[in-house]
Amino acid sequence: MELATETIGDVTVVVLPGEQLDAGNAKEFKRDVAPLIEPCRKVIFDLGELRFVDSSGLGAMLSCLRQLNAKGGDLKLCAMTKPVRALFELVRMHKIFEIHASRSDALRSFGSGLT
Amino acid sequence: MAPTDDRPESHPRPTKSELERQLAELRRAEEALARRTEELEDARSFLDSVLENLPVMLFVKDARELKFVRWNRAEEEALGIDRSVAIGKSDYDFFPDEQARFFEAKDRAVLTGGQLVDIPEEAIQTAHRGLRFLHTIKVPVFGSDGAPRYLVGISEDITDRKRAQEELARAREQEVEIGFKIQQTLLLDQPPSDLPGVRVAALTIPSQRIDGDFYDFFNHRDTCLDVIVGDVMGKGIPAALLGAATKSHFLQALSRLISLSEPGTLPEPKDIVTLAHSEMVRRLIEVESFVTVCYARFDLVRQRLDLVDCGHTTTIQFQARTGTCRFLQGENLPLGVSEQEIYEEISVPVEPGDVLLFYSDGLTETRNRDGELFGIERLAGCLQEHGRLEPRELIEQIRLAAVAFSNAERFGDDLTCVAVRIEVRELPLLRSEIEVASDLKELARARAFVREVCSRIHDPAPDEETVQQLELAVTEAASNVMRHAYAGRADRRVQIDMDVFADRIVLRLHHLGQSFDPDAVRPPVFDGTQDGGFGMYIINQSVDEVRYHRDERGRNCISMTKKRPEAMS
Repeated sequence: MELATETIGDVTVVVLPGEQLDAGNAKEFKRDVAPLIEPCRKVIFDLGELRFVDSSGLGAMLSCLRQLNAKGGDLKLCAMTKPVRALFELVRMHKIFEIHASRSDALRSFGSGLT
Repeated sequence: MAPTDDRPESHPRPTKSELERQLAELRRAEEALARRTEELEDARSFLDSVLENLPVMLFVKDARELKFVRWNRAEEEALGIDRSVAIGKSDYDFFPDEQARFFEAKDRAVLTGGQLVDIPEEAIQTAHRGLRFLHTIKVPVFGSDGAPRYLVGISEDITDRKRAQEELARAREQEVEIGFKIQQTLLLDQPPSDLPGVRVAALTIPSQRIDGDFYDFFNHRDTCLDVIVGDVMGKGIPAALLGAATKSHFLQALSRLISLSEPGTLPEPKDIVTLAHSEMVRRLIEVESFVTVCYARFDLVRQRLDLVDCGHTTTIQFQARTGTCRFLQGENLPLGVSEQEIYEEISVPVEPGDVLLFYSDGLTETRNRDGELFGIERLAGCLQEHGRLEPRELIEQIRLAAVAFSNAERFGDDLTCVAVRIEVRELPLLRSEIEVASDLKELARARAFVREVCSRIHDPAPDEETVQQLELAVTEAASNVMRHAYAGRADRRVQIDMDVFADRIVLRLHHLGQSFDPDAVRPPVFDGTQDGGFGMYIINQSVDEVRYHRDERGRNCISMTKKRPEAMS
């Protein structure tokens, strides 16, 4: 899976490609994103493109969150579309992840003012 | 006193010839005695050798002290006690006290009663051969004074026979168990649960020995429902297997005739029965069995019942309009009676609310304590009284009535009963289906299918949230099927269909993988420590009702219903 990353200061932003993250591609995503965030402590997933996430997609993101938390880092999500937000709320994951409306909001919350 | 011959001194000296005569006499007597002794000796050794070689155990005890005076070879072999040890001893010398007391008591009873005593089974602890079981006969032998002199015991070791009998009993139990399994898996189908236009319930109470009662349901594209109810003559595994074979002949006949029919038409029940019968009649005659069958087709569009009754119990129709019952009986012979039989069907109109009751004779032939039969009139009365209940409850009422009547929870025969109620037929406004491979990459296609069908629903059109919830539900359900039911194999098929009714949308997934037990799923954990376990929860939250069942074709089905808001018009 092609994953575009951008480094802004000490924050790594991963843009989730494609419109869906489901059981059909969640494993692939997990496999490919793990080495990208491995050296990082501050990571943002930009979900702006994503229109559909299922429980497997959600599980993949949870696994990234735990990977970062384990070494004192954090994962924040931004630009969530309405259907994706609905799923997060359904399984109460909006309480587990820090979610920001926009990428700049998320960056600011990491103390990185640059856009 | 005149001299007499018995005075030796005065006895005249015998003449030589007299002496010779006397000597000869003496010799003859001696010879006779020797012969007699020899004869006795012969008889004794003959008896000895008979007793010795008898295949049954034999002992003789003296009547006074009950000590062994004889002990044959079979006794030695069976009990592992040599005669040199046994002779002159009593039971107390070989057997535990309790056993010896038992033997002694029996011995005394024989001697005082003066009659033969038969002990069908006695346990005996042997020194080297463990616990053995004997069938023993004890006989008193009397002396010339009429008092008992001996006690003769003849025993047969029945341990092996007894074990064989126990083995047989176990085998019988196992047969019942196997028969029961055949019945549950091959003979009795799950009645269709979500067929528009009809509601079906079935009941079986298996008896101690399986009867070979069976039933089957064929759903023809939701326009016709075929119900087959049958009963094989005989009991046990043979009957159960014949029942299973009969079912498969019907299925074969049906599919063969369907493949020969014009598309969109169905073969008639009488032709299905005739073909199935022709395939199996010879074999049924060979095994000297027959099968009674009732083949009923509910034409849900024309509201008609076509019935081929092959010697089965009389079908009872509860007519909702009048609240009364009528009996439907054909005139065909059971399957396996005549090779020439041509099967005819009868047709009757049915209306919504009507209930058709099929059952095995185990139900009507249930007897009460006075030997009276439950009977068809009583059954019809039950149907008339409870005909307006849900079929499932109606069947339960019938069961309760039979139990109350016979005053037993278990019955001598299998008791099967199928109730079919005609419903107001509700056709979906829209129906669509798709088949996908069991490949997780297909999930996107499943969602696209749901979205496309939703785009064709109007008045009111579903809102975006509803569409998304259905997308989520179909994704989670299909993903469960692919990952769990098909264990990750990507080369299987999943059929998805969607029915839109005025008040609801029904989304179904059908698969042939492992069935799924929703109760075995652990509730999800929402604290972020677990990646998985949300699928079921998401489905339950996204739709209003979820059911897991077997569909009319035996596939596992996940059926999800989402309510629709009322139309604005």
